[in-house]
Amino acid sequence: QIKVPDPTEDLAQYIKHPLQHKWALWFFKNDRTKKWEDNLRLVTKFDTVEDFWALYNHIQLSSKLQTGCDYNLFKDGIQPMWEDPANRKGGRWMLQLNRQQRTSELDKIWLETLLCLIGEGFGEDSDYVNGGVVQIRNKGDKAAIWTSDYKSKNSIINIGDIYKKRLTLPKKLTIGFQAHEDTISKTGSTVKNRFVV
Amino acid sequence: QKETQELDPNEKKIYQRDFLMQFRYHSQSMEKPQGLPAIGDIMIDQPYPKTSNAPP
Repeated sequence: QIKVPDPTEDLAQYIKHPLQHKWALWFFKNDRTKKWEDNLRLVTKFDTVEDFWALYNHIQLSSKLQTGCDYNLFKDGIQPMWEDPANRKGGRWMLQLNRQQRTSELDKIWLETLLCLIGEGFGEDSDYVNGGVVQIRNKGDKAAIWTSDYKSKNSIINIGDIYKKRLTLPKKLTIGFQAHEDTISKTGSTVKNRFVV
Repeated sequence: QKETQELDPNEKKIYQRDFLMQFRYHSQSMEKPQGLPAIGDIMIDQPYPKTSNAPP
């Protein structure tokens, strides 16, 4: 009797699903005794759907991280910092959460952000997407999608629209896009939004 | 959504949410990646099991 091979049974034959890009996960921990760069550590890189989940399944949920910690997922070759050439003229669509949402929403929002990134959820405009960031903070956690060139208005707004839909945010709730150069040069506590959706 | 192998290699590999989610508990996705740095803050030994109240 001939047995039809089942790729899910025979792991040696199993072909993992390739992603469009290779991605790098970074972890940041705020330790004031160290330099900023030394607090940022590369966790690992992956370029298949299954390797993404293997990583996700073996690291702590965002809501379990200490205050002052970040996860950053960026395309391989782009450092998760303003200074990187890919980020310098870019910005971020940022979602500011309130303190209650850490328990109820944060992990869902970060997972959805990750799936938007690795699945090229922004279609052709995914080329403008550099990465995503989740930040655990006392005054309220933040999730963001980082893009390149903020002057490509239509693409940036399209990315914001899709992100908002994927996060299933209520229509009346808005998210803003800030250019990194405005964040760097800010004088007060608020940074003006270049775009809002 | 079709398997990628059938897609044009020049086409962008766009994966919808549901497509990605179905691999979450695949046996290949439950193996701990090798060579992870020992960062106590983030490493967990066992994946969260697939349960009705599993975290997102």
